[in-house]
Amino acid sequence: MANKLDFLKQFDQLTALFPVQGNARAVIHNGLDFPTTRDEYWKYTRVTSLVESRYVRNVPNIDSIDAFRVPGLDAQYLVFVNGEYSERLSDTQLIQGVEVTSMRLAEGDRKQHMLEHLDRYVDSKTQAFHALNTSYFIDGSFITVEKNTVLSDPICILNISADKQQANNIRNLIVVGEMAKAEFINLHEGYDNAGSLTNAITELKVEQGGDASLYMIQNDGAESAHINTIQVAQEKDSQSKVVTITQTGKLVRNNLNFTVSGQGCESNMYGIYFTSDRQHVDNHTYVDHTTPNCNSNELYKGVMSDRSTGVFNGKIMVRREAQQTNAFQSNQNILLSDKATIYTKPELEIYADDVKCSHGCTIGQLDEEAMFYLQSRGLDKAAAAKLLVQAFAGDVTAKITNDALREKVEGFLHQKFEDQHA
Amino acid sequence: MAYTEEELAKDLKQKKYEFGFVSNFESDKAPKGLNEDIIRLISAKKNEPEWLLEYRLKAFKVWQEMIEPTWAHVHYPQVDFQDIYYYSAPKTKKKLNSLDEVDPELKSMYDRLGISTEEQKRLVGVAVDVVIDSVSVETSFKEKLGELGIIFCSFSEAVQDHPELVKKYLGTVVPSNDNFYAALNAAVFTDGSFCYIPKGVRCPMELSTYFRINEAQTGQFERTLVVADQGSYVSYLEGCTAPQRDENQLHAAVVELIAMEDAEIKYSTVQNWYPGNEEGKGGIYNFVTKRGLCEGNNSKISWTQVETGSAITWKYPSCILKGDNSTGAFYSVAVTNNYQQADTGTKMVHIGKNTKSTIISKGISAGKSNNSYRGLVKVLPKASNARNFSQCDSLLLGSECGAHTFPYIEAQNSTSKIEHEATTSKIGEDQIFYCLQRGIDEEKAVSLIVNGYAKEVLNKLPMEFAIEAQKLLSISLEGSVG
Repeated sequence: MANKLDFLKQFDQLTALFPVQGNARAVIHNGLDFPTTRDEYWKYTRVTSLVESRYVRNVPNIDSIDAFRVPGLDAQYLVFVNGEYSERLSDTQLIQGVEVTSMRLAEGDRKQHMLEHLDRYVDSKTQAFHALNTSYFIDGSFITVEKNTVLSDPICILNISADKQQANNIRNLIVVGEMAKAEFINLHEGYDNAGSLTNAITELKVEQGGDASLYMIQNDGAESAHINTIQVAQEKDSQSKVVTITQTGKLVRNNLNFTVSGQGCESNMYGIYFTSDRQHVDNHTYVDHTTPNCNSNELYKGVMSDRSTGVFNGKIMVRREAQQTNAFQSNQNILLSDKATIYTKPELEIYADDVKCSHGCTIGQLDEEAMFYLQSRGLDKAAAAKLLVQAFAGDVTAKITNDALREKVEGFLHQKFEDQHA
Repeated sequence: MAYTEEELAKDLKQKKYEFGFVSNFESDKAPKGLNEDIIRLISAKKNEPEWLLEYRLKAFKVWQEMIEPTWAHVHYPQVDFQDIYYYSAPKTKKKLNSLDEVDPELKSMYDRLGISTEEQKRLVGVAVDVVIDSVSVETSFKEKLGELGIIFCSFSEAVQDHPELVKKYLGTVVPSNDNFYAALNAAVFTDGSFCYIPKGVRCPMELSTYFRINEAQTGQFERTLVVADQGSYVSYLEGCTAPQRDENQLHAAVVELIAMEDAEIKYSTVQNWYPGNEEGKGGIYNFVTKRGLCEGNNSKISWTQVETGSAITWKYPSCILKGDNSTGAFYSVAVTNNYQQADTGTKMVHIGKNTKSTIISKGISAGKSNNSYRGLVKVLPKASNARNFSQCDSLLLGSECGAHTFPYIEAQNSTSKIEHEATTSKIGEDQIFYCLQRGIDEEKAVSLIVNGYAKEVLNKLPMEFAIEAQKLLSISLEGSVG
């Protein structure tokens, strides 16, 4: 496809930092094409315009990240502007058992350690956007939490997308060691970035008995697009939790995949998408149970208004060996406008018999009786609706165990509603 | 009052042999393969009008450009479409002299299904008692139906006798370019059933393909068209619980239902074709397109199916809810055992206001089989107050089978309410234990539990069918436990 090669040409002058980048470039230049709506997993999300655009590259100067900080959050920030690490803006502290580095700056053993994990969990051979990311990321975060280390404060990776028509391939690699426990926040912020594309990959490895939480907050801006992939690889007895909150973005596609390769694991995934205008937000999740005695829980909630579109596709795969799996999946949606659309597909693929698996999915409106009740208590219609929407989202926000972050998310929901009814 | 099986048996007994056997048409067979000439031949043999030939040729052109769908969760060796006989006049079955000559396995299955001896003879084509010729029975039916203005006949007859009706409705619900197998069917269908219920008539009996079993075997490319005019009602049964040993491996049928204002169509299917042997060899490929159109306001279409046979099932009986306040329903029990594979479900497309749909799907997988539910619920922007409830349960018997759910839900109207839930489970050890300690052996216990599990759907079947279907479930799952 000539188009594809043309598109790729604009990135080809970027230096490949690691061997995997060379491999990925070979893959994407040869047979691998970008998905179209004819691909089952991209049925509802059209990305053609993204991969036909011309992008520019520059890294504007940013004075301070104060505007992007989560109020009241005690965390160290690792800051990337348009994919490039900014040491000046970052405030990494030395914490026993934790190492936080830019991928580009990693050297010696550290680099060796990184290469052991980099691109091992994500599939850059058959997924074009993964291959695109792997081919052309210019930097990334590499975070390791050593064995038995329990972090009290989260580590925040702040990705700022600034200026128009930027294409940022964001890469994160996080390794949580045996019996370690840590929380991570990946904050995507943007300003003045119309026409930009963020294509992010996070590889999260949780070793035996580890416990990792990752909060993905997407606030790139109303005129930009975001393709996000989180690949979680869990070892025996580990736990993980990923919460995805989509705030802004014209076109957002999230792929969240779990590969569980050991007994006694628990995987949790939660998400909120509250869309307006012509937003298109697509969440795909995939849990692959390959070993016995594991649990997975999933809850995604969406509120669609105006002419926006929500897509949810959750797939639970239980392989033959994965007996005694408990997998629960739920997706609930509220449509607030006749022009809004939701496409949802909760899938189960089960090859083991001694399992408990269920999924549920609902699409509806705000409860009329609840609205009436609230109005009879003196709330006006908008306030009543807001309260109900907040309560609806409450099941998911409650999963955010960090208070400061939860308040930020609740604040966003509040604001979004205010804006809509303004 | 519905015409029961007992009455049928009685009628059959009373009838004497009148018409003799159908002559042997063995030689009347077109060469293998598919091309325009074969289609012209089929059309000519059936003495079809020009427009129908054109319809077939158009479908054939479309079909040639289509590719076989591969998205279903089934695996099978590729079908060679040029290695099939597309026209062979119905073969007469091998005549047997008594039931003793029947394959004992088949015979015992009949007995356990509780099929009467007369019925059994008819099914295997025993020659004694001057073959039970259902044609005569059918004639008496036809008189009864004729009085009410109901047309119920084979498709070929309908083309000859009621071309205006066939022309008006054929392909309106399942257009010939709908999908690969529908196009193939439109090009080469040889026969099928046609049914028209006039305004305001409530069909007094369950119409069934049952009653015309000896009349030109409908073959592998069957076409059914049921039209219920304003305010009418019909209940239509297809297939039967008795195992069907058919030699054609590929079956691509098309069923079209049209319900006008205030009309109701109830379509029930029991499918028990040859599922292949225990090693998964042989068996029928069943690629069916079934779709109902609720054309008028307040119309209602329900699909009830019990699927136990076929090696591969690929079937999605759908409802297009076009009229306001129309209702669609889908009740399904799909059983797979050994190496069977089923990918079945439904589509509910809500177009009119206040449309309602219900989906109850119960999958049972045993042996090394795979059973998938695949469904679509679509609410279009104008379908205010659309309501859907879906429940898809899967029961796994044994650790080598698979149960899958692929529901697609698309809503574009903010007043619609859609619920979907699915569960997967196995028969609990405690349930079996309870039965055992009450003196019910394991096999019976499983059958009891499975029947309880499927009850919700079996209840929707016409009475006499339901009883046979229950027994069929137990038989299909035999040997899968322990």
